[in-house]
Amino acid sequence: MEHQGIDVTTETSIDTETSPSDGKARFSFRMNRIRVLQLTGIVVFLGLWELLGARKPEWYSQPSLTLSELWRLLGAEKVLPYIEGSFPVLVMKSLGALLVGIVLSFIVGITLGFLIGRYRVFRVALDPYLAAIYSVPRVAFVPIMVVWFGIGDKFLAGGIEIPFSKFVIASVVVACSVLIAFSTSAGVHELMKEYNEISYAFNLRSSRGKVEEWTGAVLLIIAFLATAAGWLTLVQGLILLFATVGLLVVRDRHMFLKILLPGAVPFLATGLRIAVQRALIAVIVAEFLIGVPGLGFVIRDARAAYNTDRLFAMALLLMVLGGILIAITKAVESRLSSWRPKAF
Amino acid sequence: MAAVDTLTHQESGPTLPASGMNRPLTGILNLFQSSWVIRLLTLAVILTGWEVFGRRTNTVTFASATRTWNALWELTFSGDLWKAWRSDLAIMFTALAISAVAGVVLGFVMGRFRSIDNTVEPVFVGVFMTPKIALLPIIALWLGYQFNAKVLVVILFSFFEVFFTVRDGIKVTNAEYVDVARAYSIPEAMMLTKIVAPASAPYIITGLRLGLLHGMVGVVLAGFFLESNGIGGLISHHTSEFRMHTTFASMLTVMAVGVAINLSLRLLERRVTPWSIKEST
Repeated sequence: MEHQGIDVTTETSIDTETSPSDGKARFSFRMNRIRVLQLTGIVVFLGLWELLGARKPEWYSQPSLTLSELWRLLGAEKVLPYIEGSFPVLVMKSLGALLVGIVLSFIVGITLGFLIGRYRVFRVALDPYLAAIYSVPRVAFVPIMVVWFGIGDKFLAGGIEIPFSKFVIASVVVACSVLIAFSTSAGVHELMKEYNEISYAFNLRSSRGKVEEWTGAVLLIIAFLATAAGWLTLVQGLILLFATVGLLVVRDRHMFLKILLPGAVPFLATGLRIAVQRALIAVIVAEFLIGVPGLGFVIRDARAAYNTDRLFAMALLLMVLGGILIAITKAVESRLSSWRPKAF
Repeated sequence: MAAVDTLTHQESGPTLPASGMNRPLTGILNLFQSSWVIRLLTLAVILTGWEVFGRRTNTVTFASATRTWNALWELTFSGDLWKAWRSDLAIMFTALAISAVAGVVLGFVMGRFRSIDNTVEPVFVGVFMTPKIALLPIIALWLGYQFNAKVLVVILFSFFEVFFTVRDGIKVTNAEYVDVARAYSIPEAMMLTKIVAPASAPYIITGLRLGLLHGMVGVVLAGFFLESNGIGGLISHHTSEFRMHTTFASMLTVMAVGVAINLSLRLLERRVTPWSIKEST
């Protein structure tokens, strides 16, 4: 029982990334040495934990207990009191909210990032705020999302019922959109610098774009203030916003399509990698805080019941989920940015 | 300059009509090129929008700029803000002191000795990758809901930032400078004080900065989920009673402290290590 448990964890936690067959022969000894050391570390850690837990299992749990609890959870028909849905359904709820949140964050973040990276006015105007929000714990905003978005676990969007909590999605957007905006604007700004140098070299510098950016700025200010004052509804304000951005993009389409968009893709991938980890935390915090059906609620419930095994099982599950998400985003990143130097 | 501009535009063809037509307009726009004018205007627009929106919405869901400002003074004079931040800053600096010492020492050791690094790394990475929020209830179970538990939460958030930054820094410096030092056969002790320590200084400072910033996340979360006496507690308490003006004011202080930490440590970074390194996160 114990042995089995140990084997399962070691396999899932490290062996997924490196495949042993593709290393060259002369490196194989070194690779093996590292592998042996890593395995030793994990086995010793799990062994110590197993021994410690044996003295007071309801306090420290044990790797074997944790794994069997996780196994039980994965097959459970009903995990939470009052709430229907098997455990995999709850996992899907959390991941779905995460996915929707990430997609929305990308829309917000890319729009903002392109504006700030491409146009000087927006950079000067908005960069301080972006940097400020970037360096701040955005989980502080989660409670207020409850007040704004309510605690319902589904909502209607254009007549279609979306089975995720609006509040959880909003928390993800708050946590992630800034990260994506930040890396997008950094990437686009870097490209613009290079582009400007090239255009200097070819004597192609022009004042074109200045009028557009100021027109855009004025339109965005109008959209913002009119929405705030209630002259436009939120939807109308957003339409004006995206129309303005669309106008800028169309006027500048060669720059956007040929240079900035392809150039910014690796930066977007980096943004995605960082954002996914924060998004997972945001989802769990949000669900934990008010008990929206999902993984956070399972943790909340296990805490209330002092179920240590389940708490550790959830921690392990989240570790694995986080690891999978990171592995996916890393694969995406290395695919999309293979041509870029590794400095960033 | 203007002559050069017109010349190049005539050469570059397609841009000619736009620049010719817009010349007077760009002249006026140049007035606004000063970044401070733009920044002040932005601040004015944001504050106006905030105020206007706040005045026409329900005070239960939103607070205008002036009400938030008043609440900020109110919280400051009533001592609530000071009480919350005093306990949180005590937690943060205790935790960061521990994280810094442990992170730097372990970072040095594991940066130098690869076999120790290889043995311990998987476990560290495992804990690092676990969303800390999942460990929070377990910590509450072990250490209760007060100071000790909160310190441990913040350590979990800050330690790995310090540790991984320092370790990776040591690994990089080892390769370059240590070889040169070896060539001059410098003794091991001197190598540590004269080469490895100064070379890793920027990584240590970056690690501390990241540690503090992540520690702030920890301290806010601890306020939500453990004893609610810190700034996180203040926020969740005021939100649950729908007092938006004080909630906004508390959140503003979180932002102010975050920005202050970031700026001051960046300045320190620039002072101590003018050659500065690029951060990864």
